[in-house]
Amino acid sequence: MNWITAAIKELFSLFVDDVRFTIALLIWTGFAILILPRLIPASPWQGILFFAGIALILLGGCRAAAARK
Amino acid sequence: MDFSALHLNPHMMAVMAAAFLASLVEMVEALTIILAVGVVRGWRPALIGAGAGILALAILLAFFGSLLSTIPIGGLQIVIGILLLLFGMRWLKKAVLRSAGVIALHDETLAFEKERRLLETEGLASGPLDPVAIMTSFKAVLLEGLEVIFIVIATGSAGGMILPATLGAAVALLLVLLLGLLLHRPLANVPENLLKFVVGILLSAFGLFWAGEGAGLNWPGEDWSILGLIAGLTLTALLAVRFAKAQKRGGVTP
Repeated sequence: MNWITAAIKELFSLFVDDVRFTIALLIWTGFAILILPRLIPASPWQGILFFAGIALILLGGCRAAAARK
Repeated sequence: MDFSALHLNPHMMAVMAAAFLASLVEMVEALTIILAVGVVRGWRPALIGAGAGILALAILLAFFGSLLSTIPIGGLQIVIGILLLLFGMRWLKKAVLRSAGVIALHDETLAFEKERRLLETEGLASGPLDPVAIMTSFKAVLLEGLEVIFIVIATGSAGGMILPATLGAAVALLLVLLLGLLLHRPLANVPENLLKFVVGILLSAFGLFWAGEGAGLNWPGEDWSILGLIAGLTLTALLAVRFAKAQKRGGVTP
């Protein structure tokens, strides 16, 4: 059983090692997928805004992680 | 395999590069552990464990590969895109923090010594087989290989490019096997953090593009926007290194 638990933990850790960072990415992705198309229909700004949010999360996540160390 | 499907284009080259570089990083890490097992406990259990790990990975690949073909492409692109985005951003953030000196660089020579000391403290095998050595080698191949499988399936399936992704990973495997056979020591000169930086950017760009594409978002320049995403993420990551350096407090933590 220990082996299975270790494998599940390993699988989870492929995607998550900073929970706040991951939650921020998921919330913004959910917003971009579900809300953005309704706010600005059929516009290339949809993709640009999706990228901009992810870029800001990366900057904020790295800055916060550096401050915590 | 239908090799006539291999008409090289920037998208395909990026998929091959991502699969090759990511696989290279993971396989170098697995090789370090297999070498430590081989040197301390003997090559027979090291190779039996590695072989069993490869077999387990092949079974997983066959299972998930056939499962993916049953999922509609739109839903597949969203799910794979989000997973790839999380995976790539995790690598990229870690690479940024390593570049900024916030966390220590991964050192294959240190990893090898740590594994070697650990294996030396374990009791020697009583029978013809050495379960500790076999399991260590097996787990190294399986765990590092899982990441390779995910990258190959994720980068390949959402864009219909399983063949180029598999080729990228296969070339990395051959290269690492060849270097391992020739050198018989950890591949300490591989610029691992630079590779993780590049792979993090590529995988995050694919993840962003496919999650958006699957959800029906519009991209400027359509397929070509993936190159813009790679450029944009590169600039953002370089800026993040400067932010993290400025924010750093105290010394480097291992």
